[in-house]
Amino acid sequence: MEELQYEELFEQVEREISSEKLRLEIYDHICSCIEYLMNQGADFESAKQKAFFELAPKGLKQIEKETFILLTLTNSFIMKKLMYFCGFFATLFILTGFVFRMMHWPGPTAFMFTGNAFLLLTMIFSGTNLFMNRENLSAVQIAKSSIGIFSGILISAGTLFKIFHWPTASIQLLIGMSLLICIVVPTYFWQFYKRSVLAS
Amino acid sequence: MYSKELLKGTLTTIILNLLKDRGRMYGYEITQAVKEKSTGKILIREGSLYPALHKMLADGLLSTHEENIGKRIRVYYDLTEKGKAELVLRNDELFSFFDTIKSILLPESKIYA
Repeated sequence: MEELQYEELFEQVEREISSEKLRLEIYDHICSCIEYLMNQGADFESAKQKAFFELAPKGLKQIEKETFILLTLTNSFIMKKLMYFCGFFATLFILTGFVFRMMHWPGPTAFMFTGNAFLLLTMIFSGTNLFMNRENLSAVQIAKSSIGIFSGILISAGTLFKIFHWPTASIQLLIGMSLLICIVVPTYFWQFYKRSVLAS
Repeated sequence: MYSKELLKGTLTTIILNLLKDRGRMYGYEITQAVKEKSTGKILIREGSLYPALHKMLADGLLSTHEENIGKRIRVYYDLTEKGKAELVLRNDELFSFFDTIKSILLPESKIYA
């Protein structure tokens, strides 16, 4: 193969594969395959076509996507478990704190503090999980979930700030609640409504 | 040629066995060795080799070593101690699976013949 052909191949692989290590391997694989085919008498263009098709008929991007999915599958599973665990305790403590406050029993702030700390963790794990799965989601799904997570972070952090009488608590709560009331809740209820209409 | 689904569950075991038999290997070499050993019946394509290699690397079953080959870098894979132990487990599991499948698919007279 000529120098220019090596460069052409490297540029093509570089355009489609962003991970450096994987790129080096794919480039070496394609070059090895083309060199072998050319030694057997094939011309560069047909050898190149065959090499790319044999390695990845659906395109090189598919290799990177599958590698990412395989590598993050276990992490994503752990992240989801943590998310549900924290979500359960957040709901439990916040609702218990609410009951204690309504009944004027002692200690509702401790329940609210613990519940909101768990809520903040839930939102952090949800955000990480969303980031890890971003390749498999549409732009609309990512936007909807991001707004939901952002409002959750502001509400839980705002409540914690309020408990400690730290500054910016009200503005955090106000923005978080506004997003929740005006965007998150209507979007989710509209989604549930659409699903029930489609199912009936 | 066998279907992609059949190959999917056995690819890790195939790679582990090849590396045990031949020592360190690079990606293209692995695809050629599989093709050669299976007399062309198994072709690793559709991008399944590199995701599998990287997953095995992340799981600690393989180690890598890079070498300059002219103007490009070649990544060689080798078995780790964990990979060698995993190979034994996977081989046992696969052979036991073959026996079970045989006992399900073949009539009893043929199994004990």
